[in-house]
Amino acid sequence: MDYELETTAIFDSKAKNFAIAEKRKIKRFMIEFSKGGFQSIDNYKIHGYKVRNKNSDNVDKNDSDFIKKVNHALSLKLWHYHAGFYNLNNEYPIDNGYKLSDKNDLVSQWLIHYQKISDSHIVLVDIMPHPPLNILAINPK
Amino acid sequence: MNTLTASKISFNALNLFFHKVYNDLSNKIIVFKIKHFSEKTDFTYDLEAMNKALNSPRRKVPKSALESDESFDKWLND
Repeated sequence: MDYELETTAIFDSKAKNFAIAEKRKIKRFMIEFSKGGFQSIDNYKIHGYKVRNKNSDNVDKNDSDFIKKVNHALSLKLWHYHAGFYNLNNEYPIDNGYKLSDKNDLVSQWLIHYQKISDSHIVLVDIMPHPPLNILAINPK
Repeated sequence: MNTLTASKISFNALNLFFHKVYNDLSNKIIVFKIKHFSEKTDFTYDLEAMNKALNSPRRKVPKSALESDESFDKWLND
């Protein structure tokens, strides 16, 4: 079966500026999709643990744009995959970018956002840290 | 205007009114359900940035781009 994988210009412009380790993880995700489509990335395991891959409609209920974002994610079929970039403060030691969540799957600070057109066709839309960094909250004084 | 036409107009107006009430109520129930029964999460995303990315041009990833680090880099920088 042929799988269709596309990227946006924004995704490409960010991806090319990452270091080799992060680029390899993006490539690994793409190769995995090319081998078995959505089922493959949805069941991808590292050291026996599943990498978290979720529908993006699970927005925080306290988000001021909660309804707008839920509708947006549902209508555009947005998903996000935990990318496993950077072992910040040694909190993400697994595969040098993941930690084990309380749900026993692997999560990371960076996410690959994608649009699931179908099980055999996805568009990689953007790569962002999770949650988006709020400079005002980091340094309120 | 005869009685039949007047009652038809009244019926249509009532029908429209109840449809609007029903739709508004359904939407409110859906929103309530999503807000109160969805999984607790700290996930969010930047809506504006996401729309900008979604509206940017797209291209297909050829299998040849995934053959090596070099081919991937070359394709990314094309």
